[in-house]
Amino acid sequence: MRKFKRGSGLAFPNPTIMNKYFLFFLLSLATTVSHGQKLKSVYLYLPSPMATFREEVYFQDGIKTSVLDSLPQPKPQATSNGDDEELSGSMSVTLDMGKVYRNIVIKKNNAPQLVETRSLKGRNYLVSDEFPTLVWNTNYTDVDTLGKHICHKATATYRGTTLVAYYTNDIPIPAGPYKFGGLPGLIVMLYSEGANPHYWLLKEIEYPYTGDVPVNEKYINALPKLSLESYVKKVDLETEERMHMMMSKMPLMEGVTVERKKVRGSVEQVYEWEKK
Amino acid sequence: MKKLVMSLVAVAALSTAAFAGTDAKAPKENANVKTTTEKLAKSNAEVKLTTEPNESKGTLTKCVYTLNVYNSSGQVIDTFTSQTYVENSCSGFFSTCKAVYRHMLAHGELGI
Repeated sequence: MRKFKRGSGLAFPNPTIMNKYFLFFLLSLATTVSHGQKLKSVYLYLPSPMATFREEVYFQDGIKTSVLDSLPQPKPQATSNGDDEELSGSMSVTLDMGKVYRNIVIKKNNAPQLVETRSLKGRNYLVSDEFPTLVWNTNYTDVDTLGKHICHKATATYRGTTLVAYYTNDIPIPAGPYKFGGLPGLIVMLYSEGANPHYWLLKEIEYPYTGDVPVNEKYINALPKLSLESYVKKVDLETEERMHMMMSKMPLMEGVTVERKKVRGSVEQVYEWEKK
Repeated sequence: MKKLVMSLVAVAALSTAAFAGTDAKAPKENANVKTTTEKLAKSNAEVKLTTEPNESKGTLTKCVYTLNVYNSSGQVIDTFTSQTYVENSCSGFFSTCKAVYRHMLAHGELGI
């Protein structure tokens, strides 16, 4: 078998150009091979140490649908020690912001816009997102075995954070969790860098998948519509009101100073409209 | 200085009040980072408890108690930190903060 040696190609004397063509070729091959074959993959999504969610991703004919559960996975029984609790320096609470629906993301290949369902004050909305093109850097020599898959590293900048993905060429489907994909193979693990990293880990694959995508498009299309910008602004306003109220109710203790720090715990740290 | 002494007296009084009627436990030093979870008595909010190292300042120890707020999607959305200085261990201050927050959460007094 002929080995492809970097920098030795006659047609592409520039290795960067050659890499781009090679990546394009792999992506085209992945799209061609995957055409017509359905895939179902299941990821575990960890937005924080507080919760783990199950996310199902379906891919067929260039359309990727991801369905994130509204409820977290049950936690294993914690072993609690009374002495540790006495020494604790922090506490975490979950804010009840009304009924939460499944987060469904529908993304068509080569289309800049994607749609997703999002919950706000107990209502479900269809949110449209002018998704920025992810420019993956696959120029890494890192190869890791994750589960049964030999994985390659790739990174991309996304809305104020850096995504680190490990994909496998064993499954030539350009899909991944949430809104991510576009690599030559299926994403096996992905995380965002930062103070509050999010993790996605591939747990199950059905390929080819013979079932249906459990999404009622008629229901989704009937939902009230919002742009992502409008949705994010509404959520930020709601959160700000709740946190402001909470701050005003903080107990006053002499000699104790209380400070509030606003955190955006989503994967997205900075949106396009916030840069202006 | 007067203010500092007043502060210490206030913290000591609060700690004493928090311990009143409960089984007081001896304070422990040099706590490593440990995490446990528990359910609140009258609320469904998940509680995660973490020990944090403390910063010493002369003979006083800086104690920082953090309340992390998460949304239903498991994403952190805000943090509130309560800070004070004590003479010895922070455990009394932490116990007081925890007791106060738990009471307020259980009675819906934090508005969440």
